[in-house]
Amino acid sequence: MLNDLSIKIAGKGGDGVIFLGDVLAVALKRCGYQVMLVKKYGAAVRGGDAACQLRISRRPVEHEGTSVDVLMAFQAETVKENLRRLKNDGWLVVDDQPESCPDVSGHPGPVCRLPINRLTDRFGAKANNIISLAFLAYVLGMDLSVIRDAVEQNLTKRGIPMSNLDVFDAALREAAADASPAQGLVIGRADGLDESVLWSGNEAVVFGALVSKCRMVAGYPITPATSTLELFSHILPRLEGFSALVQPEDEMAAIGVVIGMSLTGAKAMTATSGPGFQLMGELLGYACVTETPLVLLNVQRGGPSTGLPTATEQSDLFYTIHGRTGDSRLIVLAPTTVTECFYLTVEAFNLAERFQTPVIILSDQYLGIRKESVSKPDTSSIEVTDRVVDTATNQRFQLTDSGISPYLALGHSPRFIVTGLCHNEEGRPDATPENHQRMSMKLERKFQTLTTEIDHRQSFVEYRGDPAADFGIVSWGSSAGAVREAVDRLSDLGRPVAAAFPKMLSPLPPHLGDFLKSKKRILVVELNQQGQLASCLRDQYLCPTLGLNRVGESFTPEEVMDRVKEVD
Amino acid sequence: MHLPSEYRSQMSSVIYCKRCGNHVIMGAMQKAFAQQDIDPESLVIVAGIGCAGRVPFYINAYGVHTLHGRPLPVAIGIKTANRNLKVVVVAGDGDAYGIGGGHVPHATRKNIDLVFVVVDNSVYGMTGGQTSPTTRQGHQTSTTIYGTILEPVSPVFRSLADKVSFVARGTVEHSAQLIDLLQQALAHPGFAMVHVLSRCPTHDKLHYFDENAARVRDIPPDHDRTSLPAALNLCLDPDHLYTGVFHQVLKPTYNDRADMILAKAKAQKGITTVEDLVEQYV
Repeated sequence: MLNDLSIKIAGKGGDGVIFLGDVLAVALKRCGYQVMLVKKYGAAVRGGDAACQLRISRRPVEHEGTSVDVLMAFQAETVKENLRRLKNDGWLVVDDQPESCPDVSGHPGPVCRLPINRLTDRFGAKANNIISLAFLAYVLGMDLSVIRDAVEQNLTKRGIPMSNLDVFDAALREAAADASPAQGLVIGRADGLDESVLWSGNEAVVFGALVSKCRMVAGYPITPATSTLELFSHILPRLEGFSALVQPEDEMAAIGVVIGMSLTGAKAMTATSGPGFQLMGELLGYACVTETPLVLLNVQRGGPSTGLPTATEQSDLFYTIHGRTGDSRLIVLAPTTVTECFYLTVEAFNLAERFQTPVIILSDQYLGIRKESVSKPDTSSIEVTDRVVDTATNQRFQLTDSGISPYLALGHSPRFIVTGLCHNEEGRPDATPENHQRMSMKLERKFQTLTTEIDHRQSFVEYRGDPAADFGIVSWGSSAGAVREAVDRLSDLGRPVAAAFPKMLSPLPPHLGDFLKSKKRILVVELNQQGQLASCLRDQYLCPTLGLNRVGESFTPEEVMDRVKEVD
Repeated sequence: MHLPSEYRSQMSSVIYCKRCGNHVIMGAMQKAFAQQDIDPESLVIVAGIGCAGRVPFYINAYGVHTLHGRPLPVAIGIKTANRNLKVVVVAGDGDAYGIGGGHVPHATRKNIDLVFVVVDNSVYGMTGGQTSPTTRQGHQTSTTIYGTILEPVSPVFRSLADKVSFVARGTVEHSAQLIDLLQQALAHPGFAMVHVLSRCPTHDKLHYFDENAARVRDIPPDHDRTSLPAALNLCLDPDHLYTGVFHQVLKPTYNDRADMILAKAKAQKGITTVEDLVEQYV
């Protein structure tokens, strides 16, 4: 069995590219592999380009793979566009009609020509995806019963007639007669070691919220965050007890509804992306100063403005940390893997409850949409902070040493007032300079309490590589994947580097400063032009930084390695 | 039974000008709460920004002073999460038809069970008398020195167009009627809109309110409030500003319909648990 393999499937909308990726990923996961599935859409839903890239490994997959071992492409132009990403000894899988495949004599590796279009003519145009899948599975040498089960499950989930399974079987018979498994690619059988689930980052956030006992959600659709609302809509009504999902008229209303829900003592969240997040800024500031716990998922996309809805980017960091008026702080968490999307969402709810503040989960399109193997979480061992409502006081904003006040809830506590005006301990407007100073310091103290706790636990930063190395890399969010692989490969090449991945970006963990001070050079890898995290690091830790910055699509490990060599 | 005075908060001193319509409106609200026997422990006043926005500070209930234009979304969150609460939203004409205008038709079509009191003084009072969405065309304000060029919004007409399940209008000149309208609104299951013609004694220098007051008439007793065309006819009368209940129909509230969906999902797909989903979802 193989240890590491990348497969790319490229076509146009309607070729069933996403279907192929989804089914293959599930089947390969059942064969005991760690899987990463990255889906790439054109801006238009149909007619545009669509592609899937799948990487499987016996070890955790950190990156989709820069070059691929198998390329299946459906049109002459998609073959041409993607051929440069195929390894020299990689398998090219194409249709056997000359118009579907250009001259590929330049490709030194094996070429597998299959009668996909001819069979589609026989079984009907809508069967093309299932025929392609049967052929690809056969060529890959997969356990055919596993892939057949995965097809059946996919059809059931989508409510598609089971007659398609007969087409699948017929196509497999044709494949057996017509093609042969690619030598050296036999991917193997289910070995019963399937202890993982296959989630996207957005799905992982939904499950994290549900485990955290969040049953109240409001949101407005926006690419690439929408799938969270869709999944909540499937699940929430089926759960025992009471739940609410509100899709209001815009993002301002969405966060307004979440604030209202939270004021009654319920855990609540919303999900959005760049432009929607910007609209939420107004009421987010209100949530900060009224100390209303809530969780907000921002799945970053290309910006500024409408930008690139289906592209990934990490350029909302400045706005997330600073995008409100006044001295309004909040907590920003940044997961780097799908697994972390789950666990950091639980952390987000716990922190929101404990510190009575909005918590932003700063994900991105690359993390939110791709699917990844996640070890099945043991939900009974996850610690969830419940909201504790005080029933004895009306001092909602009582001054305390920690800055954390008693939590009151509408309908459950003595009557109290909430306002975005500068207020006193009872929540009533008080515009005196002394009161404003007192209450500002109280808000600031909450964050000092938090920072001290993080430092004490040495939490929210992942360190990797050789701690003694004098070259340090800092990266965050989905870019950490390419950096992890680069760090490992540089180490294998005898060039050890150290890396740090902060998972809390505001406030920044103080112990990250010890790492930065121990390095001669710091390279900050992030998918934005300005070097937004680098700027925050220089500001907080007074350390010089180098950058690897660009936008467009996610980094490759090779780019990171090249940059290290260039600046070192 | 509760007394009107139980709903009066002594905690903040009232900053409204002498003869401000808000004195009358708050008094009417307190009397309506008492007569409807609303438990102060389950009453939430949600408001926007401006003079009307400060009402929660002066009522002895839970008070949520939100942002300019945003009281309705916050109120919807409160009412969907805890339906035992009685929610009363107080918005000025700027809150309701200027900055927050986009929220109103979506709150009304939810038919969420709350009372929406629109305090319409035709001017931005707290900021010093600028033109508002309901300022009459031609009137001079501090930002329209040579006269307002826009046609005013008609809150009642818009509510009728959106088929709001309870639409009423009162004025601060007729407090007995206003108390009655607020009582009916509090008793109405669903979205109850009460448009209150109010007075800004400080910035309404051209006495727009008094001009309007001369046109005010009671809705005739034989008006069929279930008939939307009849309500529209009254609202569009060029000579009179009718007060009373224009329209009232009963239909399922947002929470009624949400309950039906929760039951439907469980019946169709079965009850599930988070633990099972986390184990099985692929």
